[in-house]
Parts: sequence; structure tokens; C-alpha cells
Amino acid sequence: MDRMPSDELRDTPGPGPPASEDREARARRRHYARPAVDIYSTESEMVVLADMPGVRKADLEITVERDELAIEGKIAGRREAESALPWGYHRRFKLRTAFDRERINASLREGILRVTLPKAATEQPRKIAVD
Amino acid sequence: MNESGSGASGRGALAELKEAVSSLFEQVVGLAPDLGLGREFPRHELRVEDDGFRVLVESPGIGREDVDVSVSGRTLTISSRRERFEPPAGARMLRSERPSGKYELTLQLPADVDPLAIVARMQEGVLEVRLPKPSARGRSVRVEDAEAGAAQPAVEQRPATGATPAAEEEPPAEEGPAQQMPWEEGPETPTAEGEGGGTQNG
Repeated sequence: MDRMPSDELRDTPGPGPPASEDREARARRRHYARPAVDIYSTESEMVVLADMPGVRKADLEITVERDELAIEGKIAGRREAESALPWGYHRRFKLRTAFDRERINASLREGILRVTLPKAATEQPRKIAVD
Repeated sequence: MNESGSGASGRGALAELKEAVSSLFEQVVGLAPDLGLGREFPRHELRVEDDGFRVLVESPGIGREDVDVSVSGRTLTISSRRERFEPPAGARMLRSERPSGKYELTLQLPADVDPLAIVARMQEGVLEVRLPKPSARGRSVRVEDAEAGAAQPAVEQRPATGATPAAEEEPPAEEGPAQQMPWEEGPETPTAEGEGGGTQNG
């Protein structure tokens, strides 16, 4: 298998602990997991599929800020139960492709998050007519 | 593998070596699920509760029909199968991390459970199996009087070993081999479809 191309997207490693990290953020860093993802790209869109079992729609946050896509979901009850399973999932990606932000959509089913990012018209191949 | 064909300088050779090692690693890890060798089981947890046990297994994208749960004595076996993800034709894979294949997990439970009272449910991609301990409570038995044509009041009956489930507590248990897995009908988890999900800034 070839190494995965990184021209369209790059993983952002988790941020190191800031000097004034509060208990909440520290717990999250230690108990959250990065979801496994499959990501594919076509001419017209990029699709991110992330395994986030246990996350409910109401607790899911998807953010596209500047050139970064962030997905985060807290799992209800895990912290209270002091579970050894992840208390939530989070992961970030640096996007190197321009997307049509208004049309980004997401769905969550059977613990799998699907984020569809339609590419901006400028990114799509344009057929040039030859006179 | 590196296709640029450079590698003349020392730095190029090191990069090539790194790529070869990582590529080989990905190949080795990728082979196991394709051969159905039963790779490392998904994250799971055994919880001890007052009246029994609860086992949680991360099972995203796995339906009921792909899960098998069975108990024999104190041995719990959970096996499941996940299909490999196939992208649409012509798509370019940028990341391929999600596992697939067959999994089997065997757990030794710390105490006896009532095999007839085990229930399982799948919610948000998490398989949850509840295994109640055998109940020590008695079980009410309705006695029907054939001549009178009506049921007589219930007679309290205390089984000797206490292995019978209390009918008024547990959901109706299915008779038959312990392998039969009654599935709990939970509320339908609504499919979350949305346009422009989440916050968008910048």
C-alpha cells in the first residue's frame, strides 16, 4: 500500500498541555481517543468517515475554522462510570483544499460519523472547450 | 514505496528507508483482517454491578446479524464481523484506518449468571450485554383450575437452588439453548442528517 497522500489533508496532532490547563481539559486529553478514520476524495468532494461509537448526535461537535476541520463527541455517562473506554472522541485535520462551507453536511449512524465536504468550484476540474 | 527515483543523496536514502518501513508496517497490519485471522478485539469493558455484569463492546457499523453472543458456564464469548469499507469507484483514499474482519472475544465472568436472562442491545455502535446473576427470589406460578375454568390465585414457589429468574422482574426469557440472544428493542436512534452541521467560522 502506498503511503497516504498528504496534499489534500494533513493530521493535526493534539495540542500539548498549556501552562494553565484546567482539570476538565486535562481529563479530556487523557480519556478521549482519536477516532479511526477513512477519508476519500473525489473530483467534487472529500468524505471523512470516523468511528465514534457511543457518541450521540446531541453531543457531537463539528467545526470548520479557517483551514481546520475538528470533530469532537462526548459520550454520556462514561466519565461518571469512570469507564476505561474513551470518554469521548476528538480529532483535527488541516485542510489544504477549498471547500464550499455552506454545503458541508454530516450524519451520525451506528456510531459512524460521516462528514461530506463539497469542494469549492475553483477546486474542481474544469473542462476547457477547444475552438 | 518511493517512486521519485532519486535517493542519490544520503537524505534521500533515509527518507526512502523510512517510507519502506512504514509501508511494510502498513502492509503487515493491513493483511490480518483480510485473512480473517481474528485481530485484536475492539475496545471493550466488563462492568461489575450489584445484580450482575455488563459488557460493552465498541462495534461501529456492525449490525445485530453480525454479532454472536454465547455463554457457557462462566465463559462469555462474543464474536462479530465487520465489512471492509469500499470507497466509490475512482475515489482516492487519503486515510484508511478503520479496521474490518472477524473478531472474537472470550471473557471469564467472576460469578455465575442466569443464561436465560441475558439481553443484548446495540446502540450508537456500542454493543451492550447485560448478564444478571441468578435470582434468589421466588417465582409466582399461576395455577389454573380445569374444572372451575378460571385461574386460581398465584402460589408462591421458592426453588431450591434459586437459579430461576423472577418472572416479574426480568423480561420474558426465551427457552432454549443459552446461545439464543434476546435483543432489547430500544428506542429508535434517529439518524442525524443535517446541512452544515456544527459551527462554521472563519
